[in-house]
Amino acid sequence: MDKGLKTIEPIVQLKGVQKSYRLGQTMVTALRGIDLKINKGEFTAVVGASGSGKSTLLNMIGCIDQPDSGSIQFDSVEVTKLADDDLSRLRNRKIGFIFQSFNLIPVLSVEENVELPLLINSDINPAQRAERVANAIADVGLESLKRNLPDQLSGGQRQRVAIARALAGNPDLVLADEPTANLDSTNSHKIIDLMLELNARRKVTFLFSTHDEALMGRVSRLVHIQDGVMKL
Amino acid sequence: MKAGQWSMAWRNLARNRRRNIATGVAIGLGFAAFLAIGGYISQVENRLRVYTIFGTRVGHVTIYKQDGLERFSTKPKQYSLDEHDLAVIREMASGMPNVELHGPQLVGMGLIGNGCRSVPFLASGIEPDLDRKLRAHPEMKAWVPDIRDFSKGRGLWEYPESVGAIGLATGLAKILGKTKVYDEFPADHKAVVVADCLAADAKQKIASDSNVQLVAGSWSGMMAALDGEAVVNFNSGMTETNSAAIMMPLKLLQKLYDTDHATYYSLWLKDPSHLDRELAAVTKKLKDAGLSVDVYPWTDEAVAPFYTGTIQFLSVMTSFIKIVLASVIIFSIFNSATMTVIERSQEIGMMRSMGFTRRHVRQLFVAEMLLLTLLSVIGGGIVSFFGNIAVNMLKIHFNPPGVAAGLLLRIDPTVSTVAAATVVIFVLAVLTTLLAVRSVAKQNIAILLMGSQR
Repeated sequence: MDKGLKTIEPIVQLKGVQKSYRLGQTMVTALRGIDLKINKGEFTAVVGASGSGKSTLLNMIGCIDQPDSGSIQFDSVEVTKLADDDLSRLRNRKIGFIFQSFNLIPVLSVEENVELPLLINSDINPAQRAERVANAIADVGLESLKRNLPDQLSGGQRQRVAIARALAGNPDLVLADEPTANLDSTNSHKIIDLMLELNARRKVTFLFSTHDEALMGRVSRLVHIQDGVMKL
Repeated sequence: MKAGQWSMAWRNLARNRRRNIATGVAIGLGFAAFLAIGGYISQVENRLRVYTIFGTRVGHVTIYKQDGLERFSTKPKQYSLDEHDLAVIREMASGMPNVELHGPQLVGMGLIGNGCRSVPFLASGIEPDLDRKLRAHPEMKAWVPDIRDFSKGRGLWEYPESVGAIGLATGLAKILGKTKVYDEFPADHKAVVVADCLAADAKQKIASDSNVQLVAGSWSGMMAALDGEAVVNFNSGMTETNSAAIMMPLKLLQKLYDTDHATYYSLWLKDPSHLDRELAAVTKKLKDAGLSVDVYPWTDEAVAPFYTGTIQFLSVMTSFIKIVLASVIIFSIFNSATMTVIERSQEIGMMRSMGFTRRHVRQLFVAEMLLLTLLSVIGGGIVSFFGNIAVNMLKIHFNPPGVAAGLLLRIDPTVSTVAAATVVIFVLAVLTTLLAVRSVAKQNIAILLMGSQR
């Protein structure tokens, strides 16, 4: 297939998405009628102050939370109407997640952590699984450390493992919530470089949140959010 | 569950090692306690079962004249099995392939004396050869050797009718002062007459022969008496009967009561596992033969009140203990599983975001608990194995109420006990873990991902 033609198609489309949640005794409105379209192959950063609704927006797009109202279409499928198991399947097959605090399982080695999302993917056999794991680890340059446990790695290396894990399932979209927040500036740039490289090479759509201004100039698209509202 | 998930579950056990060890110890000791209780109950149940069926000679199936069980003591002639009944039953029993042993028995009361003193007796008349076969039965040897083996003397079957062989329960022999049995005197030894029962040597004279006298009201309404020789001392098993029980050849007891009837007829089965079926077959055959009889299984409270009462009491008591044990195990697992899932809520959120379903999450935690339970059960099993050996080696005797010679404390869990305890422990582990994980697995993923920030 010609991936070049597909990059103009939206992978995710949000229309009028609203989300409120209870914080103690008060209701906080995190998103106020968000309309957003993320096209395939884009490398997009969501920026905004702390509490602006960045993480909530990523949660909605990643199908790990449901909006109070509005529509979210992932690959033309209305996800707000999907059952929990269907959402799990969609996340497993189409979305990769990278977290601020890496969220690696401490008792599993690098390659086992990377393999984790593939264990529940019944569409691939063990040989394909091993190949995907090896490719993902190679993509982030950690072949020599694949048998190491997370606590034997630096912060930057751990985030590379998290990226490899997100990529192992060959997702259409990788979501990263403040992926550089726990890293120093050198490692932050290395991680962004790696994500950019993978975006270019694998044609994977990246969407990440950040408030690191140094990184903002390196993305193809910036989405500003303030008090739950998108700013142009 | 795939191999990778089991592997992850196995390695997750290494996290919070101290907590898992504490939980494992609780599960293991709980399992060992279940085995100990089960092993003890199984011993008691087996002993009581064999004692009832073979020791008291109730048999697996007992046939009474209709209403005989309730009314025999007041109208023995009317409510006992007559010669015709006995012949029909014997013929039927001889033709049943699953009947191993069978025979009539007569019970009665009266007075037994030593020449100076008379005390009440409870007599059981049995065909001596049937008594021999019952005592030779492997179940008797395995479970009630103290009932099977005589305290002193030889069995009734060893003596000709002319001797008038009588077996005295050990307590009764003591009361009567008949401390020696027939074989302990020379063959030509004559009965000693005690002229003065208050004399200083009266006790010695009483003990210097094995002769006893039985007096009873015959079924024809006359007083009857006969002499016999105490050839054997036996343990009746029960305190209340050990000072009154005698056993004698059926014919001898029939002679005393001037009857050819029997109180009941017992059948011992080769394979008692289908007791209801055998019971129905016996009932039908006897009804077809025109006999008015009642047929009881050995488990009927009416024929085995001691067995059923004791087992019911033990069941209630041990059920309570088992509930306490199960509660301890449940709370240990629940506490451990709850703390673990709370600590790992962020990890659960991560897994859910990667596509793990709620079922996957539950499976993972259940797998961890199953592995921990497996290790604990193995550990508890080893503790139980050596603990039981130690207890059995100590040969601890205890005296439960009503048991004549006391009992030896033995803990021998059977395969079914081990299997049942294992199933119970695993079921508890799975259900409790599911209960602990359920709410977290259902929680919003975004909230789970916040972990300790919540």
